[in-house]
Amino acid sequence: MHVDGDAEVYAKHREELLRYATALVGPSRAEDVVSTVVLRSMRRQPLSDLESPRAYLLKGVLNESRGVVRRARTERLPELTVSDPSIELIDVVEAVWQLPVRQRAAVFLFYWEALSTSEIAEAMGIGTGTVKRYLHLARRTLKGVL
Amino acid sequence: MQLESHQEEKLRRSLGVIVTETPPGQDWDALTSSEIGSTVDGRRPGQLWIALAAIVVVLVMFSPLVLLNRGGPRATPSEQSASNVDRASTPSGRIGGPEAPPGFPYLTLELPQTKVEHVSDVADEETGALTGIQVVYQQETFRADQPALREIVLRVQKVGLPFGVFDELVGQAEGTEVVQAGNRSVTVYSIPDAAIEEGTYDLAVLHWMESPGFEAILIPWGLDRDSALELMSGVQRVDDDTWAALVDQVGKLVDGSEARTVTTMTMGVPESDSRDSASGEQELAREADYESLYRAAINGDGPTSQPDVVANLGPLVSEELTAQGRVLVSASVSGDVSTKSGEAAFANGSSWISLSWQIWPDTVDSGVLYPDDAKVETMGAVDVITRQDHHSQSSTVSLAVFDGDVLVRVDSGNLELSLDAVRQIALRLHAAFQQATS
Repeated sequence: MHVDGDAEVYAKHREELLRYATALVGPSRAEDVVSTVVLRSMRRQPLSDLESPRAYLLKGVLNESRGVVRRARTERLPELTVSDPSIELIDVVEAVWQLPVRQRAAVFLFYWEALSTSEIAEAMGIGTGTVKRYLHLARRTLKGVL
Repeated sequence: MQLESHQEEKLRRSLGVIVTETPPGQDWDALTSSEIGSTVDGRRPGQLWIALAAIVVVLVMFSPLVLLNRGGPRATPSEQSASNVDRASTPSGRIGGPEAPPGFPYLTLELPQTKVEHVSDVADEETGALTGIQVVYQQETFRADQPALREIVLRVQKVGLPFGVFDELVGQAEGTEVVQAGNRSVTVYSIPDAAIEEGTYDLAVLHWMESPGFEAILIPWGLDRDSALELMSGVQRVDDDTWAALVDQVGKLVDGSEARTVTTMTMGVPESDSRDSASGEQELAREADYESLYRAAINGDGPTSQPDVVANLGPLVSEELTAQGRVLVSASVSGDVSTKSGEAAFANGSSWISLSWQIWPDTVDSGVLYPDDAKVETMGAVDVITRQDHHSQSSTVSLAVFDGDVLVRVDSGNLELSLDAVRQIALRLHAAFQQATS
């Protein structure tokens, strides 16, 4: 019963995937990324057949987001409008947005989704050592604005 | 390095601004102006990106290595300003497209199991003259059991023009070498993975002089050096007509002999633009897009019965999209009606619709097919079951047509199709199915 199973999997993880994609590519592209990943994954196999659909889809969102970022760099650099610089968080938001996409993914999953480094490693398809490296690099970059 | 607790808190609040205070679909401009604070003439991260890129460009510009390897001096800043070449590229097309200079070397890449994702023109903003072309090829592949995309960017442009991503990558190169590929002398820039964080390979970016005054650049994301160099055997110089045909058929698989999925990508104008500035010519262009899209699907190498489904469904989906002022930008069809399974997906921007048809097990629970809140219409042997999808908590609508052991399901995704349209789609799909399998 793939179709309903897929719908359940999608419904269960949609919001989390959208948040993740938003953190990686911004809100205007997030839904595109999630839709693309879900459709592509479903073409390969039913989501309900996956052993760990959440990790699978999170990895897919990261991969697709990297493609979106590449395309954005190739086509047109992302335009961000920052408002009142006196607002405290602007600098941090800017700094987070300018992190490399993998570092941003690690930061998001660690500090927002509160995943452990081993869970992040599974979600990103990399080793825990690499996760720690990304977090270290990101913290080093962000420390100046925090 | 650890963060202090107050720093962690600040970081979490900032992440919260990014992911929760912005409605999906809202742009960053709106995010920062309406959700965080009022818009003032403050700093713009976009400008920071551009400033960063500009620094890289300046550094690269005056790098002797680059001057040597890129076949001649780059334009000076004043020359660049004068030429006013936009890094952004625009969808390539024949209607209203920029004129190519005489002898422009159009290049394509022959690559099995690859589709053309995007064809672009690069034009001088002031004069509108064509200064370059760019093709993005995509290969679906697997990396660690996860579907992943390889993206190969092939660009031809006037020598020395800025090309942001290339200039940036060249600035990160840890070494270069010159290799001979056929009659082309190719400079290979080795970009360490540490610089690009792709995770598994060192990127090799290729550059060569294609003809006097024109350079070519190949950025094979997802491939290592040796695989990248193998691509060179697929680089082909094509004439204007062949190039025009590629543009017309953009998205058609380069090698469709084994393809079961046909994906057509037509670059539509953004929704808002299309609504606001829809002219008769644009309407015709849209119609042409739909036509080419379905023609591509119909001309695929799939089972002969499969196109019937697409042919039956296409116009209806197009009508519905057009009625909403949307532009269909992609569609894919896979599966095989003759084996009673398959799917089709249509997308435009963030909206998509997915159709699937398959054998349904005899053991199906009737409660699943006929939930209490469903609307059921009996049409001969066919029951049309329509209901809102409660799982997704969105406007998703599902519909199933049950006929013996066959189920057809339509999921409107986040596309706001009317309920009647969804019902019609399922009926047409079912009719096409019956016709194909009778």
